[in-house]
Amino acid sequence: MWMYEKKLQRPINIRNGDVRMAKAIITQYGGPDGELGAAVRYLSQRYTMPTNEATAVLNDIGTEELGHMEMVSTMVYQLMKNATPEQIKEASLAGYFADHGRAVYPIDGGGNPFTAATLQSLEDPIASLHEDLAAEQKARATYEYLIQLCDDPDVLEPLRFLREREVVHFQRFGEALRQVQEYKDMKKVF
Amino acid sequence: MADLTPQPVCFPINEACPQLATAYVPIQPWGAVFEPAQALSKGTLFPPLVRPYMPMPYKKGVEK
Amino acid sequence: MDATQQSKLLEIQSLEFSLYDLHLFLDTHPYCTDALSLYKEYNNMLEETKCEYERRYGPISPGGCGLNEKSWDWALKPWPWNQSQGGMKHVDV
Repeated sequence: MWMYEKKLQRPINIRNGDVRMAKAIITQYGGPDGELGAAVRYLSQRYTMPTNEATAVLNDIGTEELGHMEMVSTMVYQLMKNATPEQIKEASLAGYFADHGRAVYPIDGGGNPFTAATLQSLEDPIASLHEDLAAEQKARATYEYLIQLCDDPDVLEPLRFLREREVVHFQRFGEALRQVQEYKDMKKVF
Repeated sequence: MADLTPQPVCFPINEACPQLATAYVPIQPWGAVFEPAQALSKGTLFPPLVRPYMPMPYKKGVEK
Repeated sequence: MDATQQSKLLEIQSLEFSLYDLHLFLDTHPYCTDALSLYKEYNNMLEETKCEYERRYGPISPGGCGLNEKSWDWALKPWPWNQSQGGMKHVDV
């Protein structure tokens, strides 16, 4: 079960609004390679992992992704909160504003609502873990695109942090994969 | 103060018999860690896992 | 958020983050005694630092040291996305 801690994993204090950046960053909330998808993916897969280590990795990285989901939505909220309707129109976000105002709602970069259609959770742990390795690379690449789009240090630093976390997660999934492969090989022998 | 001399670039796969059609990520060995404040700034506790992103300036029509 | 509160919260975030990265390492290295003993050390430091902070500024965890008998500060004190926590030095990487 989850308890909430009333703090962000890392400080986020965006002093200058930027609706265009919000429109791009929101994909890491509701998009195919975003944090919500990652959390749902890992927390779904953890039930059918054959080893305790793999289960732990999925449980704990899944949990961290919920915290990252909070960071991304915090960034979107702070970037939009003081935007005027004019600024929102200029950033081509009038459609979103009509549906949601300045509220945070999970969509991808193209405005499509969050879907589990881009996730997989398979009983085969080798397949699921490769899905997770791919997910971390996709997330890392997406953060790199966002970093390219950005020049505000208040926004850049949380983005760089989140990108580095994907590198670390990839390493842990890689280690979990090794252990599951070993486990599967052992089972064949005995 | 942790010894932060650069970690070896190469990490052995340590697999007795690597198979075809199988992916291997090296297992990370324990080593020196950052102080907590620096860890938060870098995005990880572990120096060998730091992989900074430095985008090349984009030149239209030129291979990076 | 004043500078003192910012720096105390940053201390907690730094410790807890380090603890979490260590936690993930232990998930795939469950018998690493070096990691286990560092975890214990950081965990003790965190408990102390967190409790001090909560007594002064209100709860981070619902049942922690920030409980008082006059008001349910969990709901009443600012939420993290509105706290304007700055104070982290900009780094080049």
